[in-house]
Amino acid sequence: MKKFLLPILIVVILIQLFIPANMIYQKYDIIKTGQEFKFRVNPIDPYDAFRGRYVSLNYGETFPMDRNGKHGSIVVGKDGFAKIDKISDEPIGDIYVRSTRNDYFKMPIDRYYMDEKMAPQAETLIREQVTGKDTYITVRIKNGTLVITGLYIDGMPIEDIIKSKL
Amino acid sequence: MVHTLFLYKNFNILGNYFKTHKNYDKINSNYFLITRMVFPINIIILIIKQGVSIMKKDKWIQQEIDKWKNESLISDDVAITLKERYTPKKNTNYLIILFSVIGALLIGTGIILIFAKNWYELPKLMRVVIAFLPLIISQCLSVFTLKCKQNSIAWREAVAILVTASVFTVIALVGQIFHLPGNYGTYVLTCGLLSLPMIFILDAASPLLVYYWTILNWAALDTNNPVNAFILLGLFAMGVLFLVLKRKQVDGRLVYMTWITVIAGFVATLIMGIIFEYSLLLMVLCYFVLLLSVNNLSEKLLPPFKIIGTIGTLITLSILTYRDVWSHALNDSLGIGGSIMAGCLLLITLFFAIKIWKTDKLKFSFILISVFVCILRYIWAAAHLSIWPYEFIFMMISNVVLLAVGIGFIVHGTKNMNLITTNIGMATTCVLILMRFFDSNMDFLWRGVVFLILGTAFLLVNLRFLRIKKLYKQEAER
Repeated sequence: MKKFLLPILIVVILIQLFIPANMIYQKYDIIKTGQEFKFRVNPIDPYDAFRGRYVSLNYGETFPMDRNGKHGSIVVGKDGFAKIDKISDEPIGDIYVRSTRNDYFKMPIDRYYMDEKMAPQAETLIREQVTGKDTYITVRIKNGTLVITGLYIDGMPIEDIIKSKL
Repeated sequence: MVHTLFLYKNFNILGNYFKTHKNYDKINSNYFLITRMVFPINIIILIIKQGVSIMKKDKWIQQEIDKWKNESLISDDVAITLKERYTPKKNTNYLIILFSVIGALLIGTGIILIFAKNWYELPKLMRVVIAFLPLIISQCLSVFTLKCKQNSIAWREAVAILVTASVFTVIALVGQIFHLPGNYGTYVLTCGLLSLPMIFILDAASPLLVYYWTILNWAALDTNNPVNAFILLGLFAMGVLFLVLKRKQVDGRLVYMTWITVIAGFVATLIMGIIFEYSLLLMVLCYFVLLLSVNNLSEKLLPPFKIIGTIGTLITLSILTYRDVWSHALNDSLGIGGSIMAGCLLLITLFFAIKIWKTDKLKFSFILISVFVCILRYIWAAAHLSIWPYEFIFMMISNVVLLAVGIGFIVHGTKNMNLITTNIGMATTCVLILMRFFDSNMDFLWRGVVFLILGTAFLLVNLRFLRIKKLYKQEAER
């Protein structure tokens, strides 16, 4: 049995490396080939013991009243912002978002990770400037999977606004 | 002994140092703060030095014996005898193992916390490299351990926990760097499953606790899907499998693993009960009775089963003596899953119990009477008997059962002059009496009198026992 341990360990090591590497690959694939949308958000600033400081994203009035189902179809309004139009158990159309829950629709990602100093400043900034300005995230979607590419206030990346204020 | 004295002496030096600086500390609070911070570090350094000095002395004596033999001071036989006597007990220095695990855990946690900072200034590629670095280093260390340090428990344990922490780090950081979706439950389960093989490959006990924590966390966060209960059972079985494979190498690590497995099993049973929306009291009672019936193990491994099984069964039986737990109705739509699981647990219990029928009559009777209450609860849940008069009848039976258990323990303990068994029986009976007295609207004076009587009875019985034991001892000495 002992002589098989090293080959088994090498297989385990490869799996341990493959899982996070695959996460990165899928992210790049979606960014490269997925379709881009903008969702309005109201961010707040919490903390994750493992993954650090992030801005929690509240999607506000993005959803319809009935949220029972796993798949949400997307519709883009006249203002250029996307909304979840209908929610159903099966995907409707080509562009849809898959929920993390089976019975109730919830956006698969509700966090935007930031520097530990920037995240609270981002929240304050958004709270102070929320009136009359659009706070939104840009996402790329492919086969129901969503990847966030940026958090913006009136078209400017949040990181650039904070940097300019520091 | 010498090492203990050495350690004690060093602690005393530190203690005296603090005593002499007491007044100064009071005046200078900053200095006091620093000394307080330094104190635990001193102790840690001292203990590590202690461990290292033990290892050095072991090597030194071996070399000295070789020298004596070469100089013909001692014969070959004497050299062999001396070498055998002073051969360092391989891998049994639990202090070193413990500190290597704590050290690796602290390093791992430190890495997680430092990287959780989210270095925005660094380019993404650099952050990815940093994220993968701890994992790659710890994986290289695991290969090195397997090739060169396989006989060192300290190495195996430390590297296994380091790999576990690195897996947690890399998955978390990749999620953080790329804002990837994914819930907490899936994250911990992925990390737990990726770390599990290390337990088997490196024969390491420390990541087992982390593994149980991940699977229980995952299951507790999603109790809406009945399939999760079966997955949890399978995942838990993988942890138990390691114990089964190691059952013949009984040492401190196996005892520790048995304890955490028994406790994790209890939490897993609770979660499965919640998932199945079944009677939790029935589920946990079945689990505790199953623990009681486990017997075919080494003496060192039995305490977790005995202690948690006995205390758990008695507490659950005590809760079942309340009428409320029989009169509240269970959800009508309760699934078959819970019934099947409780049934399976009872069947396994009976299978084990039959084996101890001849050897331990008290334990067998205790298991049998507890199984009877389980069946009662089973019928109550299946037939929805939370209505009058059934709930009253079930409550009465439970009270009689607990009283019988208490008296049974007292009688058996008295017969065999076993103080622990007698006290368990007396405690059970007293708790039952007190619970029923608190149920009634009795005057405070009478409640006080009951307490006095029970307390006096406890003391008198113990005193009598000790006297009889003393007499026996004296007679035996004559």
